Amino acid sequence: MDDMKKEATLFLIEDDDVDAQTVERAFKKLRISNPIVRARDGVEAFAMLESGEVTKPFVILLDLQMPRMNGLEFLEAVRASSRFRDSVIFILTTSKSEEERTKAYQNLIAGYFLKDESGEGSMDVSALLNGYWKISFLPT
Amino acid sequence: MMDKHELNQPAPPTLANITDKFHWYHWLVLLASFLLTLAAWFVSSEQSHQKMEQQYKFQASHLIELVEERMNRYEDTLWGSVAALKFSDGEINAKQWKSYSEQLSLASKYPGINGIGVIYYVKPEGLSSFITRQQRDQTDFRVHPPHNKQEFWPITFIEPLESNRKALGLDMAHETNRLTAAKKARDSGLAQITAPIVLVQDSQKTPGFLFYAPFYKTENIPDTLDKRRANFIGNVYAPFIMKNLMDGTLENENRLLNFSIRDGNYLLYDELSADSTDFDPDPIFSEQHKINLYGRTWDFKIQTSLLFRSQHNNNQPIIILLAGIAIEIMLFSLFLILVNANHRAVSYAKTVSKDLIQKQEELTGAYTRMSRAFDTMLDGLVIVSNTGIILEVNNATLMLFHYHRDELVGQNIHCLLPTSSNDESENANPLLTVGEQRIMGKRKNNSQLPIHIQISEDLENNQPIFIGIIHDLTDKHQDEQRLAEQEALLTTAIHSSLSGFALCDVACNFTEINAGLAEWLGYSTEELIGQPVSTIIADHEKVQTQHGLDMLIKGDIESIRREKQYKRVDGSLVWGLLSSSSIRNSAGQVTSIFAQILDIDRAKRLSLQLETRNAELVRSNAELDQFAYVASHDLKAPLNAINKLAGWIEEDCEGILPESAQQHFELLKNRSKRMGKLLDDLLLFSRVGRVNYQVESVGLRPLVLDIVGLMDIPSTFNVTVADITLNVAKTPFEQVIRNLIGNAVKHHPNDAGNIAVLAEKTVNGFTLKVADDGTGIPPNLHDKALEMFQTLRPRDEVEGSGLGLALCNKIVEYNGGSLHIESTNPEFLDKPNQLSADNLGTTIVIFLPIKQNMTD
Repeated sequence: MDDMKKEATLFLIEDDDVDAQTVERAFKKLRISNPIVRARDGVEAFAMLESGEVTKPFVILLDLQMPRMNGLEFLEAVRASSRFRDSVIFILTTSKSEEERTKAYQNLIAGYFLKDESGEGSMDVSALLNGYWKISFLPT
Repeated sequence: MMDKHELNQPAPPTLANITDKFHWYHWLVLLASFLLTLAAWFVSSEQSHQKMEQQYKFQASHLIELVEERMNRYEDTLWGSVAALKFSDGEINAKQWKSYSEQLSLASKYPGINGIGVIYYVKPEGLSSFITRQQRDQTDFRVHPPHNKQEFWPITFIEPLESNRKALGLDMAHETNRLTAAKKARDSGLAQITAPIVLVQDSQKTPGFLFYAPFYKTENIPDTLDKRRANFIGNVYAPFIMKNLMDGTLENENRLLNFSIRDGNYLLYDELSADSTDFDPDPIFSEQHKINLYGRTWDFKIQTSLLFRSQHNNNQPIIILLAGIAIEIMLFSLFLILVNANHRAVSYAKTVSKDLIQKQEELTGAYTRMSRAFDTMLDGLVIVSNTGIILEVNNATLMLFHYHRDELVGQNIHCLLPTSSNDESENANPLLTVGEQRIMGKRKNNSQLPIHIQISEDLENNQPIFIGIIHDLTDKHQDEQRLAEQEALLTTAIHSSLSGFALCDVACNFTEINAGLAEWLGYSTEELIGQPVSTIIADHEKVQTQHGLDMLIKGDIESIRREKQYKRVDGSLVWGLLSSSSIRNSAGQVTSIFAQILDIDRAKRLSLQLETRNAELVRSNAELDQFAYVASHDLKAPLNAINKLAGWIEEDCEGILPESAQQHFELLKNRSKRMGKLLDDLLLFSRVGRVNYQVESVGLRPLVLDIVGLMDIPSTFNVTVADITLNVAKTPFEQVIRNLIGNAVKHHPNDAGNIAVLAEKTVNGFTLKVADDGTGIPPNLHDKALEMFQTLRPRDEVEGSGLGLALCNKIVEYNGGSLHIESTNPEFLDKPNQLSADNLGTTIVIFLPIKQNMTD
């Protein structure tokens, strides 16, 4: 199966270096070999999608609080574009706001994860992603 | 009562309804007259009939007489011929006979006779000689027809011969009728006629007869039968055709009668057929007469002819009848006219008398109504004679003075007046003086009452009478007083009122204004009266005010209620609450506008201020929330990063860090965790009241046990909960309990302790107590414990943000309740043994004013 399937990319959209590193450390700890591509905000992320820097198959892990174009704005932009509207997007954020969560789900996210202070949670998220793309067939 | 309608519009008179009005005598007269007419007609008709009958009888007998007379004349002629024959001894010849007969000039003198002849009686032995003898004169004479009788009666001579030639020589013996009559004449010596025969010489074969007269050998007619037979020579005879006879006799012209003659069954003569002139098939009279003529009986049937009818057609009875009927009709018409006229007269009289009755009824009705009206009058009415005697009173008077009618009528009017006034004005009785006055009256029980009396004078039977109308002033008196009091009260109220009152006319000028309003606006009352309303209206309100006034004046609206700014004399504006309404006259037209203005300036300004401040507060609250949120997030992110970085350094440098550095890392993590908790609590705190939760019914015990289970409280702590159901907003209530139990555990001096959660319903809500057996909080620090970021012990000893109790307090206060701190009452706890002078325990008492179900 692995031979037939190109390895999925994790497209991490996160402005905070520490948070980004948390994910990268977790991948390393869990020995997940999938490539990680990072963008620092929505504008950069959208540009990278359009430029083809990120190729399918990929899974987006999106922060909400970001400069220039925040996570919800990016989400709406992706769902509005014909090319990327099928993207699988998970949210990883510190925001416990119900309002933001509702909005995110209305834009068809695959899951909503809260960052925890310790970083232990990131391990779980990473493990989940690893399982997810092993089992699930992603849009290509 | 007769119908008016019938009176005014009489039904069109028909014969039927007029004859209905006939009396019996009208009909009697009409009947009598009719009977009279009938009688006259009958008598007249009878007379006429009798007259006709007489006429007929006369005519009939005349007819018979004529026939008889004519027959007599023929007889005479025959007898004359007999005499002539005797003169020549019976022996004559044909020539002689001819000459003789020519002398008779039969045709002219005896019309109807057919001829005259002689018949000889010849015995058989003498026949041939007889014939021979005759043939001398008459060569063609022969006796015929042959027969077997032993005697011969031949016609020997006949004149005029020409018309009777067939008869010459005819033997009478050949035929019975002829022979019988001939023999009869011989035997009787009298003239005889035969039964009807048909003459041989009559070519038409009509009835006829022969007339015989016998002659004898002797001078006179022998007196016995034998002699007559012995001496008999023959008969002179005349043949008659009946028709000719009658024509000759009667000349059938203008005859009033028709008749027929029968001999036995043989019809001799007949005019009674439709062929006859003037034949009447339905004769007026018809009679039969039997006439004996020369041995035969002739049966005459005589009846009247049409001529008779036309001559005797007597119209008199008909005329009488018609005239009578005409008179009937005239009489009837006369009656109609008379009866109708009479009827009109009667109905007119009825109308007149009905009008009279009606008027009388109306008068009676009017009198009754007047009496009733007097009795239902609220005012008393009394009629008094000029001597002061009460003639009439109405019910109101009786009720006013508490009398019965019988007690007053006939009494002197003085009894209605107090004795004193009675004495004073004996001569000038106020009740006998025309005019109006207010006096005191006296009741039957001697109590007095104020009355108003109006007296007028009138004449009854030329005697002056006085009519008094008495009005009870008791109520009016009181009403007037009350009204005056109310008016004074109202005036005082209005003028001394702090509210402003004003009236304006339809031109929007003030007509009335109270001191309160004028003063409020800095004017005097006089300055404003007559001024336009707009004087006191703020400039920006003027258009709207004028519009409102116009609507009120037009009647489009009845009232206005509005907060408005008014302009004081110095130009400053004040707030007033206007209630304005239109005042209408009895015709419904708006005559003026009433306005009440309340001074709400202070309240209005305050409320405006309040609104502004409220808005500011809302804005600042929102800002605060935003700040708290952003702060907690923005502060938390770097804090987390620091925390993680410290962790990564620890991980990456595991085993190479010195002991002291490891401790520093522990402290670093500890502090950053505390800061995180602080930020979380701050966020929670800022959110209190941002969400309104629904009140629901919650079981306290399961709720608390749930919280305890989730909080991971050491099992050494014993938590007891009251089993009660409360109406609360569940989410903030949970928060409060969580914080309080958390505090109790966190601040407990020992590893084990007792915590009790108690609740009690009150009328207004419920009280919740969370009690522990910890150290307790000194009373002087109770207030401080409720402040934000306050902890009673160093944070390194007891981790806490210092927001827990403050958050509870805020939630409770936000819900209208209260929170205070007490030392624990040992009764609250299961095992109060830990409580001591040092460990007073802490009980947080919360009251929440949420309506509870008191039933459970």
